[in-house]
Amino acid sequence: MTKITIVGSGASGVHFALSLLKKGHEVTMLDVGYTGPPQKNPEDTFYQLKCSLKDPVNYFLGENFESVVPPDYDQEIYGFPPNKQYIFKVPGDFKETATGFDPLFSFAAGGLAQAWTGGAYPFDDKDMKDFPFSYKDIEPYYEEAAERIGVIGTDDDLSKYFPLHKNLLPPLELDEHSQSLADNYQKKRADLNKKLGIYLGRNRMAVLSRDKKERKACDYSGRCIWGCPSDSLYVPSLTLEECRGFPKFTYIPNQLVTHFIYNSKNRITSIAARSPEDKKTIEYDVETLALAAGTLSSSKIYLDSIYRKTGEIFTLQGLMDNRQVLVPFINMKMLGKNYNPDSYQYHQLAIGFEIAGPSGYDYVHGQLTTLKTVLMQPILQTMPLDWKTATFLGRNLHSTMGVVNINYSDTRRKGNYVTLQPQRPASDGLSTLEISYSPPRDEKKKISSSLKRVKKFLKSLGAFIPPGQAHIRPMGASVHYSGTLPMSTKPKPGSLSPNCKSYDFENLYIVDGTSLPFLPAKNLTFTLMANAVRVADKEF
Amino acid sequence: MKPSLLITGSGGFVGQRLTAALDLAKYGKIYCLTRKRENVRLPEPKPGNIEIIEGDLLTAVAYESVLEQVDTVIHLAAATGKVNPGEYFKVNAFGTMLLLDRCKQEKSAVKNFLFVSSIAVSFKNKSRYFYAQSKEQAENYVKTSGLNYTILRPTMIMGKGSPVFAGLAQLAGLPVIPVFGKGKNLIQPIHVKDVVKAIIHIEADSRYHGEVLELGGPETVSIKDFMRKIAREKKKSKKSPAVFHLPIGLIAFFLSILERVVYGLLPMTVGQLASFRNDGTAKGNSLAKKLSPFMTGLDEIIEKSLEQDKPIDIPKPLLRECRVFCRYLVKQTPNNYVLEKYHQCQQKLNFQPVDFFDAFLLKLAAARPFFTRMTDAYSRFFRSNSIVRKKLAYLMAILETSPPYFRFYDSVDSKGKLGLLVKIGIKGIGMAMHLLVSFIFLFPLQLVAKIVKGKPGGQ
Repeated sequence: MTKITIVGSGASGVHFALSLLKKGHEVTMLDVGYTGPPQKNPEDTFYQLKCSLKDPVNYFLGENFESVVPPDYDQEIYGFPPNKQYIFKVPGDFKETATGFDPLFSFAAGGLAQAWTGGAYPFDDKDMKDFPFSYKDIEPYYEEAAERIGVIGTDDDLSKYFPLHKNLLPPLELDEHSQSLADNYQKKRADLNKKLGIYLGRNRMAVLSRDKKERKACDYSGRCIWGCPSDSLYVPSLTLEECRGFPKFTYIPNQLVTHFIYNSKNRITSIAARSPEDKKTIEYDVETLALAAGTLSSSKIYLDSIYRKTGEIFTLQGLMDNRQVLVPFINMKMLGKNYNPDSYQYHQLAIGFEIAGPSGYDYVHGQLTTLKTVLMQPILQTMPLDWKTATFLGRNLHSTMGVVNINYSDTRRKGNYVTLQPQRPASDGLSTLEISYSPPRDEKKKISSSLKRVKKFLKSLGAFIPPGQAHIRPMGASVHYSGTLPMSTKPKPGSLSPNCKSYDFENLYIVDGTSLPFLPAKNLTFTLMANAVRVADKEF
Repeated sequence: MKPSLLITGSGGFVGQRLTAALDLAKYGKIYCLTRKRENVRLPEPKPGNIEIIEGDLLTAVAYESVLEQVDTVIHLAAATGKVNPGEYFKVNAFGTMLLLDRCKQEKSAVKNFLFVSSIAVSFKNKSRYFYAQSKEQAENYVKTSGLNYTILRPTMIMGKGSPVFAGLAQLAGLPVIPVFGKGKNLIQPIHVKDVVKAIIHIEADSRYHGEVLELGGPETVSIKDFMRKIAREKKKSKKSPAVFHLPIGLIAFFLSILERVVYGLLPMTVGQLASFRNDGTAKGNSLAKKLSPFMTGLDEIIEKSLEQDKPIDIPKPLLRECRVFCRYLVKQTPNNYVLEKYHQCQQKLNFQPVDFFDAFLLKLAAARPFFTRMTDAYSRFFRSNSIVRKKLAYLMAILETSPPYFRFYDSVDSKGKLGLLVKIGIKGIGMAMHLLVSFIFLFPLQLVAKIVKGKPGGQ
């Protein structure tokens, strides 16, 4: 039996812990662990909730009306709803500065994926070209992760990009708008595949289409955006709860890990954590340490630990994130129809296609979301119309609106790095993380040529694309950070073994996104879970 | 096993108070049928055994499946007030028949049926009184349904928000009270709480023995005296107010002719005059006898019925502004909740005009909806960050998330694509016109504001 200390309760941390616990190991998890408010009136649908709440405005818009988009707003119009704000709360002791990057951090119990939209995609061999193992090696762990969290998916045109693994649940019912797009695609499929090389299919998503223990199958309550009240949409806090059922699991919240302490033989002996509330630092003895605090936080702990021991500031190159571009569209086939609030809210459909990339092949993934219960005020605010006309249009076009979120892959490139700022305040001696990112030079070209294809594709499905409305999201917005301490078959400083064991420290594992050598255009969360399960299986 | 209920019309005047007064713990499940979910009053957190079914009495699919679990139906839903004659029969008679039919289906578990009818059924003269006629038809359906039933016929139901009382109080508020006919016919007003108590009594005692129970308040009074009492209470004076008698026969005669031609345009109907021509008192029965000593007295009924919602404590200009903006945005007046939220928003975000032109725009916008639109359209293009646009943005978000206003944002105007496209075109032209007019008047002012601001010493 090994004693393992895990830092962080996100998607990687909890699945790593669960695997270890199932094998009989002893696990201690240190976490800041902010938690959110309980779900209100969980039996109500979105529509019923608007009527049953005493103060619906407070619930939907927030205590300080923070979900309203005023005319002078210069950021992205859709933020996270008030009851998910806790996920992005950052303790005062955590400092960072960024150039060319808008980072999001989470110190919540369950981490960033508490706010995810459930995309659960396996990487294929092409995506894993730079990985020290192949799809076949990780496939059983995808299956294990799918079994744990529940993933829906089916064999369709996108199977050529998403390998079909076991333990997939049948897909959910499509909402009317998505169904209309899917039907149109079926009619023109051969032509679209041939001319544009774009394929459409069902998204893989971590949501239940049938009951699984205490979690209920999706009941189409329409409340996804404000947090699934029946726990059908998977979030890592569910696995954290499962871990807490094991007697050998110790969860210590309210602990912001700042660094680990190691001896001259590069063996970690303890870690230091600070309570964000009373600012007291506690040291915990460590036998084996696993960092799973998320790429940026894990990197910071890593860098700070070395600095405190040696006075040297290292730079970790190769930070990656998916660029995302949003393309709104209007499906004329839905004109004159009311939208149905009782439906699944996130992207049920996806498109996939290839573009020329540095290594010949680059996969581009687009998630198609049809608008249902999302608040209309932010959209109407941006229309070049007075409120009366905008309201009229919004009401009548609500059911026709949709958006494609196009994701692009990213590679580890020099110049995209994380490091520590040399100066630190004498008062607390805490470090500041410095992040720097710049997109690849040919990015604009890549985006514009692929957008042309996507727009043609949507038009063929009967959609109208409002001109000039495509929006390139800032880097950092997709929150798929990775790559700063990658897995590699060759032992070299600042990298990890194929099983995520540090080449620099004897008893250190880094099991989150930090370890990825390449970031395909697919949400990485499912792969992080599978990889954590794999590491636990191979190494312990 | 605890019994389960279906209450129709649970968002109505009696239904709202019934759901609030029922001892929920006594029941397995309580299904509340209502046309608009937000009309049902429930405590928060929502009790687990209440389920709201949004639907129409005429659309049986909405409720028929729950009848498999329901022991008793309390049927309150009805078309009241002034609606088209056909509507009374459709909702009150046919709706009841449909409901009874579904209650008798094989799968249905319904045994008892409590029908809340009206004292008007007992009126001698029901000529052209379609409401009473439709209720009488419904009573007959209930009586022949084969279910265990009770029919409750309350007299005029009073209380805060009572539609009948509001009509009478309006007349009583005039300098000289118009009374149709001699006004000597007797009425026996009852407070809505006492009607609710009676329903709860019948239900608790499982008193479904095929009775027709008439139920009135503890005091009987002539309609003329009742209106005088209202007038005195309203004006807080002891003087007996002057009364003007109108020839009821003549009015009824003319109305009955006009009704056949322009029913919808008339201020009142022959049917509504029935309360001035018939005695509306209840025959005694054991239920009334039991409840009567504890019922709300006549003076208290009037006092309570005159009660109004406390006016919300927000600054007058803000109140006015919110009302005008609401009419502009959703064509409705704001309820207290929206006013409160608008006030809260103003307090938290402290919107202030940045210069005199901004202040002028706000003043103009708050004058009336027509000007709101002009300033809004103008601001969108020439001053996108104006205080008017900001305030409208927040108010729109509040309305979008508040019942019942969110419904305004929820449904399309026309199902036909062509019609919709034409409408979109017309709306676009409408906006352009407003924009043009506002530009002519407002642009020079904005220029002046800019010049004044640019000058040394300018604000």
